[in-house]
Amino acid sequence: MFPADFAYARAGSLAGALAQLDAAATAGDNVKVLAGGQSLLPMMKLRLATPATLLDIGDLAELKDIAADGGQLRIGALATYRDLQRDPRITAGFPAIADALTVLADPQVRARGTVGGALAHGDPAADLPPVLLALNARVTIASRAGTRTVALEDFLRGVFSTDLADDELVTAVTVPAAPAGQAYEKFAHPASHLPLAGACTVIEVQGKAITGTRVAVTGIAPRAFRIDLPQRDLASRSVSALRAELADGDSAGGPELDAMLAGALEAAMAAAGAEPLADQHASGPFRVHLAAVMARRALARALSRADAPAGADE
Amino acid sequence: MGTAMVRREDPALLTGRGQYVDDVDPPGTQSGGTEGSPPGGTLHAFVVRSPVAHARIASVDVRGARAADGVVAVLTAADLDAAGVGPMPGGEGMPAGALNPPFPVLAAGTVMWAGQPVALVVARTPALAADAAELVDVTYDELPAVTSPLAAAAPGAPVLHDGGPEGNVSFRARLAAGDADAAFARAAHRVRQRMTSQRIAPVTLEPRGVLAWVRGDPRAGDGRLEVRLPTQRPHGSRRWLSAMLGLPPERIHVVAGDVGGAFGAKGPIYPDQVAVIFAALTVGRPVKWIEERGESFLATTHGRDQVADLEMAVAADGRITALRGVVHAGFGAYLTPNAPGSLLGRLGPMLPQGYRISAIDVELVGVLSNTPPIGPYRGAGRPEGAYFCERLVDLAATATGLDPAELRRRNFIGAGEFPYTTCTGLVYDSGDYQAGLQEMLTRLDRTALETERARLAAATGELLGVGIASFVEPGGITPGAGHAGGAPDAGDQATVTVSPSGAVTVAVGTSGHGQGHETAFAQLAADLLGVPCEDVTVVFGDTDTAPFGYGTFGSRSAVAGGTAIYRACQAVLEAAKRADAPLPVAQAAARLGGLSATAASGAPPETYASGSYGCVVAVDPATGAVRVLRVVAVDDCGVVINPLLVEGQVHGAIAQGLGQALCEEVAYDAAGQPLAASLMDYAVPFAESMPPLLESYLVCTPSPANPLGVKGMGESGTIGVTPALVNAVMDALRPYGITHLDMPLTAEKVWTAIQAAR
Repeated sequence: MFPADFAYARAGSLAGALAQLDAAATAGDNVKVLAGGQSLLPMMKLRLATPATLLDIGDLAELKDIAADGGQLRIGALATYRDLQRDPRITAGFPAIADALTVLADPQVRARGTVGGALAHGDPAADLPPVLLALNARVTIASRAGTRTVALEDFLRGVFSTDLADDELVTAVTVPAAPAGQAYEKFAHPASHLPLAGACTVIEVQGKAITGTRVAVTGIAPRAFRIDLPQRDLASRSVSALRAELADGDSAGGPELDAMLAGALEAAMAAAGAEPLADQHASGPFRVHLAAVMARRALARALSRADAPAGADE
Repeated sequence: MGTAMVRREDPALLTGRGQYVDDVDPPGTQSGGTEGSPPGGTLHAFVVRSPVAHARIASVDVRGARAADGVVAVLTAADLDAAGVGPMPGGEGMPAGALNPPFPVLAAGTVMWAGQPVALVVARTPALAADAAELVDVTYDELPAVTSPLAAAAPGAPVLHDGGPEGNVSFRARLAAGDADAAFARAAHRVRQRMTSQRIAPVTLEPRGVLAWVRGDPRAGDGRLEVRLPTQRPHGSRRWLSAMLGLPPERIHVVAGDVGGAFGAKGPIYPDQVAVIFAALTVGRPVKWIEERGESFLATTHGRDQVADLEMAVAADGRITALRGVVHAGFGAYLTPNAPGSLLGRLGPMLPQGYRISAIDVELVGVLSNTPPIGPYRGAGRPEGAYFCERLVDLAATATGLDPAELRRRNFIGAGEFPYTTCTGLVYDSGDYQAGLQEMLTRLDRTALETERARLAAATGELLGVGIASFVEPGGITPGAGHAGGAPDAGDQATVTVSPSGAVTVAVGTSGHGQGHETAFAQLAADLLGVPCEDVTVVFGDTDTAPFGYGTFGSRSAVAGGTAIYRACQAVLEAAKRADAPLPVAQAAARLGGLSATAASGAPPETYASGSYGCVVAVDPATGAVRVLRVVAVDDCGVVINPLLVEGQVHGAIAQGLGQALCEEVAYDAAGQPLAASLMDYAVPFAESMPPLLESYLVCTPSPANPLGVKGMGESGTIGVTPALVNAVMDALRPYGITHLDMPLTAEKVWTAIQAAR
């Protein structure tokens, strides 16, 4: 486990970091930005990544802030998973993010790993992307030329592939205010404990009616993705009917909802031309099925939260 | 004896003060890891491995690597051939006429598995060695590969080695007694099943490694070759190195030091280690190599890899009358020393387990394939034999309509029938299988579990499953007369020394590697000599300071090492008595200027521990996920030296058995590439996979086979939990009519079976 030779640079300011990235992109130098290092460094030790230079942005305090603006939250790219876990604005306002953080890696990784790093890495089996997708998050990207904002939906491209250009840096993720009805469920890979399948559901309820449902999944395709079909299907149900169906759980209501959700996932993947991920532990079709079960369970939990008074969990 | 003393070795190990091979450098040297470090510092090796499973080596070009920064030497097969080094030891105890191809230290001409060592780069630092290894240019002409034992034994399979009587089949051996066919003809019920005990990886916490250096010129009869080798067999390793390197054993000093887990995998010596030791001899400087985690999946021996097609004959009253069928055992690309023994001496003969079965006719087939060699792994044939038998017993229970516990009761060898000779020729020393089963059933409480089954189904929709398994575990083997450099029939040795100050040193040839021998043997000697435990120091693992021993494997150390220590302590007490010295022994030693005696175990007969395990699982029909709710373990290992150590063995072995049952598998694609070569892909059980409580209980029938009454028990958890867990999952799936699934019981396998049954 010895990485190939590389140079190390430490950015003193955001402007300095962007200038360095710009110069490297112009010269065609292979520079990788080091944030928490929880994905990049293992890949370097396995020599799967062999950057010529590591640009460490760990000193850029301005990227560590978590700021609330009304119900909206602006999370600095260098905020660690642990920073999020300890922030009451996250745990109270975004329980689905809190769900994901409790099943994400281990305490050591959560202490070092960053939100921006996770998104920029583009791992198809990561816990946060589906949650942020379902929450309509936007990614702020800076370069020497200026700043732009892109929906996470458009930021994620494929396996380890994003909209980020060589001269750009993720600086923040913005999450708009969201309804209380949200949850994340995960079926962990037996070896890596990354999601074999994970699903986040956000459900909007007005009175007895379901007015909106967003479902996003991870672990089953080259990127986390959202499906919209269940909204149409679920909207035909009243809250009490859906609750009754979900309460039957795996014994009765499960298979029908699972099949509906799995069908929606398959259709979305087919439309995107996305091949399902597969390995020795789980085939593509099984991952799709698992994602459907996780989505149904997330739906049940989201619904119970939608009903609960603010601050109280099930 | 019998006291639950905490392990005296733990404070150092748990606070980072262990001395593993990577923690040490030769005396007077330092690692050559920095620029401008003094000449003579430790060099570091990197092993260039075959990236393909089967190929002819068209060319090996090491010029670029030899010229690279910091490189001191690059070795290939040609260098070893020129020095006459090799081949690797292997195939002990194989039948006459078996195919046992010479196992080269570095591949020559062909490569036989993805990961086989091809060249060794020695450089100033580990990083420089890794850099230079990328410059070793090997051209491979790929050949078709075969990785599973059934496929490798089939006609038309790609053949690895010339000269075999039947392609990749190393040997076929028939294990037969009684008239099995007649028993089957008469049987009221016949149950038959193909069952797999899949290939799995040992995954020790400390990977393998080696550090070697020379003092003087041992090849000229001056000085010695010093080898720091994390091994289970220091004396055996010295013997093997002596044969391979052409050095007399007294010119080789092997020190095991702290060993961070072995589970059988550090019993053999490996080609990469031999290449590193040869490099140290060649370049005259210390050379160290530490296996990387990913490398261990390619380079360390694997365990299991058998497919059994077995059939059990059962009379109308539930009596099991015969076993027949065939077991194909994968050996990997070459035979390690004990590969044949695990099949012929363990798996096959243990198929009847604790049951009165009078007829057997089973063919045991050893098969070579394009995979890393199979070695001993926690149980080495015992878990597989028990798994195959105990699955068949549960199938027989279903066929006869008898309760699984009742069927076992009707077939157990009775407590009054010992010593009992099995139809496979083993002599069981003692046991009370009924008592063990009854104790387990009482603790398990199957009546209460039926209430729980209904509650769980209503609460979560999960299916509860309850499974049991009973087993017999042979332990304490002493290899045959004169084997591996031992004195014929003398067994393992121990030297017990009482200094005039009263301090006691126990030096013993069985070499522990995490089991707690320092604690257990100190307790034993303290009891026998009548001295405080704190006064006893235990020494092992060093061919200079420990007397001869075969090492620690096969649950042998309490039996063999314990017996040697017992005899040495008796000899010390006798010596004191003969000199009319006053007891306690410390006073005698003070008057006599010290006391010392060396004794040998004298090859005590094997012991047969036993146990009954119960498992409770919850299966989620929506995902196929299996949760282990309870494991109830009842073990009978005779007289217990330290119940805390026994419990520790049970816990660890349960984790490993659970891993095989639920998640572990070394699998290959059609080209022979491993699908998992890291812990991100290879699934070992996590702490959260274990049941919240481990319910471990003991019953005791002392062994009459040794003076201590002890029985080896290091593998029991692995043997018992694997079939109990699979039986439990099959119980949960009973509503779907599913009777058998092969391990590992992954969520997808279970869910797919449920879907197919719906």
